[in-house]
Amino acid sequence: MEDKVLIRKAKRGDQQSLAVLLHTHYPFLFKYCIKLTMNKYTAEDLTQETMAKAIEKISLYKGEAKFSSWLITIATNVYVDSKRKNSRYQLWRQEQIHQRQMRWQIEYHNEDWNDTMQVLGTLSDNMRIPIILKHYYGYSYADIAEMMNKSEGTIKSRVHNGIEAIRKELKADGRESK
Amino acid sequence: MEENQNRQDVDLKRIEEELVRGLSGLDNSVEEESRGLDWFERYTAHQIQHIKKKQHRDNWLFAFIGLTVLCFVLFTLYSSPKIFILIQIAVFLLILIYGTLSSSRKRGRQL
Repeated sequence: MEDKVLIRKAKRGDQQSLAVLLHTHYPFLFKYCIKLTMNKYTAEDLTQETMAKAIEKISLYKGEAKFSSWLITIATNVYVDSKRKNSRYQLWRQEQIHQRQMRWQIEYHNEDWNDTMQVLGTLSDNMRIPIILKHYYGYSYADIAEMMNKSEGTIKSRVHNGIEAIRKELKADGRESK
Repeated sequence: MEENQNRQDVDLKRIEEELVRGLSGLDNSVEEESRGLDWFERYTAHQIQHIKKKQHRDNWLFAFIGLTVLCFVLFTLYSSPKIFILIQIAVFLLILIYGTLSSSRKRGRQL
């Protein structure tokens, strides 16, 4: 069944349609969450929290954006809110642990964990989230601006500054090939 | 100058490619879960029940606060605010007693 039909039914209170809809988008959302958190278990928690929010707010979904984009918007907001609640030191420690675990998991699966990924993990969320949405998911600056509730200019400069920061960091570490 | 710009462009292009490759690696490292829809339906049904309960509670709280404000305004306008505060304390005590009794009865049933 098409997403539009499922959404219409879900908004009318059909629980089965809602379950099918969320089940279909679960892997996509989980993979986005893993890129945000860089940790499997935190990503699972974030995915579930996002799902709960989506169930709660399904009646407010207007259908202007794609359903997957709507889920990304919710997940991003939940993630940013949860980070605001933790102290800076706790966050720094958590991020270090998460990155090490993620690197181990990726190398265990014989996947590529390059220096660029390492530097990406050290960037602030303000830069990292727009970079992931722009360069991996291919969203336009306008879409990202709407998702993150910021102006298009801000998003453009954050993506640019983020990529520039990665370039400088790689250069400083002498890892960039000449 | 132009050469420098070209080199920067090449660098940026390579960073973008490495990012996409690395992030795809992240996706591939996540093993696909083969859990069926049954589990998800149960989970969704549970979540919906939980959210409905919360919304129900919130509605009651909202109604209670609204009524309190309304009554306060009406009593202040047409009578004495003191009477209203006394009534309010009485209502609050009644709710408190009802809550304690019903939760102790629930505990008793569980035992």
